[in-house]
Amino acid sequence: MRPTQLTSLVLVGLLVSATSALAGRPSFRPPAPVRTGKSQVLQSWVVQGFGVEEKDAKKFALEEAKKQLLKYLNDQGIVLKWDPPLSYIESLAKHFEPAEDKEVPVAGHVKQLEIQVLFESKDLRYMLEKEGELRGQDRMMLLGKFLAGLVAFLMAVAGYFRLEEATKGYYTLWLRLGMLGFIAAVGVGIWLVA
Amino acid sequence: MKFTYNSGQRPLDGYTIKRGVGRGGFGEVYYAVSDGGKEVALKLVRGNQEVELRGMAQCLNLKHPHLVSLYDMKTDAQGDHWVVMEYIAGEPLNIVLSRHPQGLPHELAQQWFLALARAVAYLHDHGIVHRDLKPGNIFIENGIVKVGDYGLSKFISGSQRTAQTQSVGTVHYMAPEISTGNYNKQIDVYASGIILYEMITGRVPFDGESAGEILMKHLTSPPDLGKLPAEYVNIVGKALAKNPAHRYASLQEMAKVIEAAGKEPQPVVLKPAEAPPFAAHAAPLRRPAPVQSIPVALPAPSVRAQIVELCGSLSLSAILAAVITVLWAALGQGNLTPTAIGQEFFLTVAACWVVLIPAKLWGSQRGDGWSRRVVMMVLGMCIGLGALWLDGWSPFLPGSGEIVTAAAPAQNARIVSSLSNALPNAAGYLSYFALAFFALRWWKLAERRRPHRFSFAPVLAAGFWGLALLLVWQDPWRGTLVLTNTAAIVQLVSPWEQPPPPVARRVRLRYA
Repeated sequence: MRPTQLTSLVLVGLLVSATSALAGRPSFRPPAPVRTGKSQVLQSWVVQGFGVEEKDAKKFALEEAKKQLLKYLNDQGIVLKWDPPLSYIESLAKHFEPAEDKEVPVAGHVKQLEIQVLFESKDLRYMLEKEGELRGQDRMMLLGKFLAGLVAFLMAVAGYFRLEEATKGYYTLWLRLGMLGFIAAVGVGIWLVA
Repeated sequence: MKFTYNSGQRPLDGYTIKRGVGRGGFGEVYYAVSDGGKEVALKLVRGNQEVELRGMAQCLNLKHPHLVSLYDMKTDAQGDHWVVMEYIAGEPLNIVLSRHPQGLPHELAQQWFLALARAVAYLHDHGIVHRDLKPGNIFIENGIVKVGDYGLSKFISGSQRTAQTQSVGTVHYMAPEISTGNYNKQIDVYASGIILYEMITGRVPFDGESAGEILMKHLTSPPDLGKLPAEYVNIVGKALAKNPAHRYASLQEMAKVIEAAGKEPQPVVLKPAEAPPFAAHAAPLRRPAPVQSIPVALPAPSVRAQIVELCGSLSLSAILAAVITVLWAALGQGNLTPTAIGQEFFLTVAACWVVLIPAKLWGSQRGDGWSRRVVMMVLGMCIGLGALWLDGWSPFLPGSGEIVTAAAPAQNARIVSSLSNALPNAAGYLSYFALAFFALRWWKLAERRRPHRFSFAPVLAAGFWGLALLLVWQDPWRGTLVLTNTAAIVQLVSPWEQPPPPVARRVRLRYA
């Protein structure tokens, strides 16, 4: 067996064993991003909301819950670019106290609502997935612009050389100007899209 | 390499420069086109003008099918001297030899050497010694040998070296008597012997760490003729004799012996140690194994052409990847998220480029397949990293357990466990693509002389490995699609030439 053959087989062996050790699970096991059965409660809050109507009070309470949740995550070092919608926060609410009428000094007659929010590990997974998705989309947008520019450049270079060969150097200046113009036009287009 | 003149300039009336093609001690060489459309090489003579111009002037009216033709000598408005020469679109022999480290097939080496010998013999017949015969000065254009670079040519004048101090020849091809300053056309016979040796074995007979060491070997060491086939041992041995008087009297004589080596049977072959010095031409020569046809050396594309091809292939692969991804998304009937579609596209483009670029760099050179597999494996890991990156993964951003641990050491340890699958996921991404790129010889798909323009076999093989590697990765379909698309696209965008018909194994080598 040649040394390169041996080396490459050793490398593959190391790669496979390292992967198996890291993965630590049998083959063909389904992906497990959300395992509701084993979800643990990480934090819970009770928030109150006020409003002229019940729906206003509910919205107020959900926004308060969202603030609490984001503050909690911030405290854990998790800063999200993804802005969870109120509908998602509502899905975290486990218990609604019925709205009650209250008299508030300045606002007068308002409705008061109380919500209990349970934040579980499956919810954290979901949020991180959403965050990853958003981050991935941002990266793809960036990569798309870069790729568009690069492909335009490659096409311009290939086109320039082929045309220069075909015209035997008589239109070199024009071809170069054309190439630069094409690259500039694509660059401007990408910049405008940005 | 910066040239004095740029493309489009007309320093010499009647000729438009296209690009610089070479530079040496005697000046610069440009590829140019005459006003009538004739492609020529223009040599701007610098340095030792007198010697150069005198040599060129003597060669100006020489006509031989295996010599680079000199058309004219001109002087421009600045007083610079130019030589108008035949433009050779092929490549020098040293480049061809670099692709064949084990040497050329013997039939081809013989064919090329005979052309070289006839050309140099023609020079000798006209009283000119080339003095710088080396593979770099021998060009192969459409399988035809052309001897060029008359920069060092000089008349055979007595035997004493002229007063000019320009060094004679290149050290690997330098005859021993050059060191004495007392030489004649026999130095070309010696250099031809070295070139024949190199064409057959792939290496020069005298090599060393320094020019001094090589020169010393030329002067004192016998060449190792054991690497040569039997029919060439005595021929090369005689051509490389230290004493010029023991060499072939002329290159015609040497050419005749070599021609005879291909025709006459040689029942007795003397080993190098037993061979009487320089008497081998009289010995009967063994007939080499007959072959149906002498292979034709196809010109490999120039560096410039390869850049054009690579740029074209890369851009076309991105366009094809986009088309295939759109079709895939259309077939998905809205079940696919934009993120999944985008990832599919970018990973396919990256995988295609990762195959096309090394394949182009390796070109038609024969290399160790296992080393290449390892390189492809590393590149596959890079694709895996790219897939992770596109998936929004980052070790420094939320999503990894370590950050959470650092932020909340005690009370929120439960969070850590909820994020514990980050590392295995990353390992899966990396190993999936690494193993997929290791398993197949991807560079073969981009080879110019692959058996078929497009074959489904590699696509199926890629699909097989893509599915087999589901053992590692958790998001299988995307990876499998990337691999199969890559196998198809790479074949579609890579240039292809009809491979030659199969011949005897000894000459089944991809030439130039």
